[in-house]
Amino acid sequence: MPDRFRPHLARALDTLQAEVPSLASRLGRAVGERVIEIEVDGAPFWVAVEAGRVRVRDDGAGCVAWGRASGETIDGLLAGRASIEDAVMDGSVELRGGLDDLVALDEALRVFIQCAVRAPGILPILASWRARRGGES
Amino acid sequence: MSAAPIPGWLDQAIQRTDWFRRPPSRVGGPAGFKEWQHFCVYGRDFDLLLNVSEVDPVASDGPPVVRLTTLARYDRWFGDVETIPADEVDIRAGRVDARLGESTLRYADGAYRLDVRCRSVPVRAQLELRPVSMPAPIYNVTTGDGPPIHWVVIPRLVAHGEVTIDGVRHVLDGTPAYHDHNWGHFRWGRDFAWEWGFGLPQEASNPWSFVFARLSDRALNRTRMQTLFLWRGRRVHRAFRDANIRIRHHGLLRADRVLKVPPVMGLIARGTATDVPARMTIEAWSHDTRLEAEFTPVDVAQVVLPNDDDFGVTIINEVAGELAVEADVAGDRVELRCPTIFEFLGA
Repeated sequence: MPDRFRPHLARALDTLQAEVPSLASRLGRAVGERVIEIEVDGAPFWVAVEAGRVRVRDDGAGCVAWGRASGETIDGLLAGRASIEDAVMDGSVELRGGLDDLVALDEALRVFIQCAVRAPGILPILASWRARRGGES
Repeated sequence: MSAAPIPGWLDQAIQRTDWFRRPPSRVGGPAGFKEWQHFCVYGRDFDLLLNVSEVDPVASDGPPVVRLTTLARYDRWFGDVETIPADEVDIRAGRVDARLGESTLRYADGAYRLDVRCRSVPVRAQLELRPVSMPAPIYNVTTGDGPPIHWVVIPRLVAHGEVTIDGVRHVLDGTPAYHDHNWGHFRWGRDFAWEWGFGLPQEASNPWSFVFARLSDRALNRTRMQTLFLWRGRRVHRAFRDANIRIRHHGLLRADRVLKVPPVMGLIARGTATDVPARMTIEAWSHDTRLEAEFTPVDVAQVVLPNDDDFGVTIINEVAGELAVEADVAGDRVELRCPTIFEFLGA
């Protein structure tokens, strides 16, 4: 399956930086010096802070936390069809890492959402991702 | 889909009080404006809340954002907050006349007409709402550390039309409905909270309608304003203020499931804990009136809003429940028992 999530996440991070830069800096602080692996629909990539902002990258060296989910699961979480707690408990979201790193990952998720709901440019990106997912299914 | 026309004086009173103000920022005025038109309809076996809002963005520059919030309660809650793209919005200041994508809201010829087609939830409504009671404008209500907010309430309307929720069609023929309109410059997350509610009889022959509101600090320790109105027919029959009202919360509602809208905010505001009371009692009195009301919540949905100045959230609890009002008004016995939705806003 084509890797649709990664380019959309990269666009979303750029949009946060452009539209709500002071809030986006909090996302960088939440991620800190960690390298986090994210795998969506079997396609892994990494996120980390580079030059003061969170970016998507290809290099997973130093990865300390790992999260895996399907695009369908992520869409379900964004649409409220499941809670993050239920998704973790039923295994549709898998997490691995030290407790401190997983807590930081959860905080980064919360901060990302907080930034995203304040940035008007995020909605078209979400719509684009959903449209491409819909076109594949 | 129509009912008897309303009197000309009532039509004029509504046109003079209830109209879209619209954000002054559009013409160079101060930013931070919020405005919404709120409608509730009570069918025999469903509740419907529709809210059309226009707000200035706070965290970023840009034009005001228009949203349609829908909450429908049938065998469960359905709902969402839809942001309408700017090129699909047409709102006329000075009247109630708005187009939001495929949905429209208008007041004309003595009736509000809503044609709502939700894009993300299975809710469709074609409604004509004819006001029964006079509007009560309540201007310059303090929120504490900012400019005042303004409120126009029309507690009692009758609804005709149809509502389809999750494929189930409901025909309305004189169903009770409620409407209010709020606007002002205020910021979510500041030191204020509110709770308000209303009661509408299911029987058209019962002339009484009930509305109360309380604004307080965010911690609910200090009441800044509270008011209670009792309408008889079209007009306010008694009004109570501040020291003549006592509102008490009893226990806490513990819901098994809480719908949160927009759904993505459920990733931030998690869980089902709320600070909604399990029961609420209201007493009001004057030289010739004694009123007692009891609201018993049964179900709650939450509208979760990002705060304007911090990373917290403001939660508007829309609480379905049963209301019982009993009063003695100068010897007249008042009794009102009805399903309703109270709203509790807090952190």
